[in-house]
Amino acid sequence: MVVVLRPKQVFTVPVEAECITPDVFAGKSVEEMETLGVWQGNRRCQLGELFKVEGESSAKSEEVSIRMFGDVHRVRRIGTQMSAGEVVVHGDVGFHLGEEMAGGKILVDGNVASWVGSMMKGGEIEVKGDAGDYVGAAYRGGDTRGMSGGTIVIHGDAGNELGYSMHKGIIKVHGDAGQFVGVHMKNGTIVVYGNSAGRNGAEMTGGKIVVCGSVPSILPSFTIDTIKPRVKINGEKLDGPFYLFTGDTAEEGKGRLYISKPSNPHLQFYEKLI
Amino acid sequence: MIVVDVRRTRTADIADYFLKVEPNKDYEVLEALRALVRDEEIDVDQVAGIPVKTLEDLADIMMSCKFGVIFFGLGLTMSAGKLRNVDTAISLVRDLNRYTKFMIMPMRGHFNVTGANVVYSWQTGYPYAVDFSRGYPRYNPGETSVVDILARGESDAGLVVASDPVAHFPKAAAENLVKKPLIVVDPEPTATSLLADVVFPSAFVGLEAEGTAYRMDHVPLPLKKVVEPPNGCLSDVDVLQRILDRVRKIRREKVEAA
Repeated sequence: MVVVLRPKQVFTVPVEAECITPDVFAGKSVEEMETLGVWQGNRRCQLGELFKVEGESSAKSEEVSIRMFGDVHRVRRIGTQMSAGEVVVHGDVGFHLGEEMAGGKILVDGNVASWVGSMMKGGEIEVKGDAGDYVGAAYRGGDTRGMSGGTIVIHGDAGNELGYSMHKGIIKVHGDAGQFVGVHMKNGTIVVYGNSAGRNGAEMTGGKIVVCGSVPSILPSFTIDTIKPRVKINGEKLDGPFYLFTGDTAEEGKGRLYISKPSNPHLQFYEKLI
Repeated sequence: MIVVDVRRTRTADIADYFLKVEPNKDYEVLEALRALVRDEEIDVDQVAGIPVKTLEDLADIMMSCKFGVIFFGLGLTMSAGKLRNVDTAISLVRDLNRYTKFMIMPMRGHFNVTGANVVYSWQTGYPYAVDFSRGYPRYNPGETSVVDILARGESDAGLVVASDPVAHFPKAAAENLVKKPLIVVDPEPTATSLLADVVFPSAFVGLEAEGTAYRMDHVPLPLKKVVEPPNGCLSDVDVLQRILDRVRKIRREKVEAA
């Protein structure tokens, strides 16, 4: 069943609404959903004060579909710890979307701010527009365990530190990515179909990063291994050829960095070292 | 003494070695040093304009000294890579401690920035950018840091104590700060106080009021009062304490009325 949320006002201070998940909404009437607690700046208030709640929820969270309309770009923590069901956001959305989510699906028809899928454990996030920094990352100053499962697909561009401290799962970026793709990465897979601003795999100890576009340079702590004709991601074949670098040697890492050969003629000097 | 900088400075002139790095390439240099300290070979001939042979010599000097210190400043924290530059510099120090004693210390600028960090840390566990909006401290720079909050235009009031953000913050952040009600507590007129709605001129600590300032290495220095402040001029502690008392009174009255 579908629950529709529309903001009643233009939010000027941040709203934190970790209650907007199929798990919390399941088995609740519209009146019960309206009394759920949210934060607007430093003020605790009820969901119904900020949002117009319409539609009907289901008893089971996997049958709940939440649709959000209107300007929610200052609304944070939507889909926190959700385990099933679906959240669809029509427009731009704020920080920490799908934080620690374990299952279900989030679809954004717009852009997302930073920390989308932070510390995600499972499920799927799809973003039609661009993403901010720290996609699937860990907090700064908190837990150093980033994404540990699930899939994130960004159709636009992504910011810096994509997949910071990632342990498992897949992130795909169809546009370009910023600096420090997979910084401190332990395991998992990141694919950037566009270009990257460099410093890919900084301090990684394991996992796989694929960049199909160009990179400005390779970190000096990475070593060229070989040239691979193609690379496989979850069954999907990407045609290269790709330079395969391993590192980060500064961390005694065994991460693998696949960088497109045709898109990066300036890396040709590495070939004499193979 | 080894100086690493993008340009030759007066400190570089009196140093034993000077390494000129290309701007925004500090991260690459530090990563290369870390790999060398771990006895790894580097594929390229030079990093950020510095020959790898020179970096090898530098790594040898660092590993063979008895007690080394890395001092870093804004050039490292504010160039491309920002926190990651510091992150990898700390890791380099960790790696060097396998061979010798090594330390790392930020070079602090203004009067008592170290004091602000020290007090935040022992009060909340975080050094800066602490968010109390939900009643307990939270820390996530980028989200809770003041310059980002202002740049996104999310605040609806500002209190500035002994600082001049209008002169130092990015234009968008400074504009959003002065658009909303702004209160400034400062002993001196600043760009921020000129644009504030309310200004409390406060006494100079260490001159007109006693107080504590922290040295760059976290040593607290008690400061004495030498002369009387101008009539009616309070110390910043008194100004803030009176505001706090008043806020608590208003809140109590509101609760009682409800």
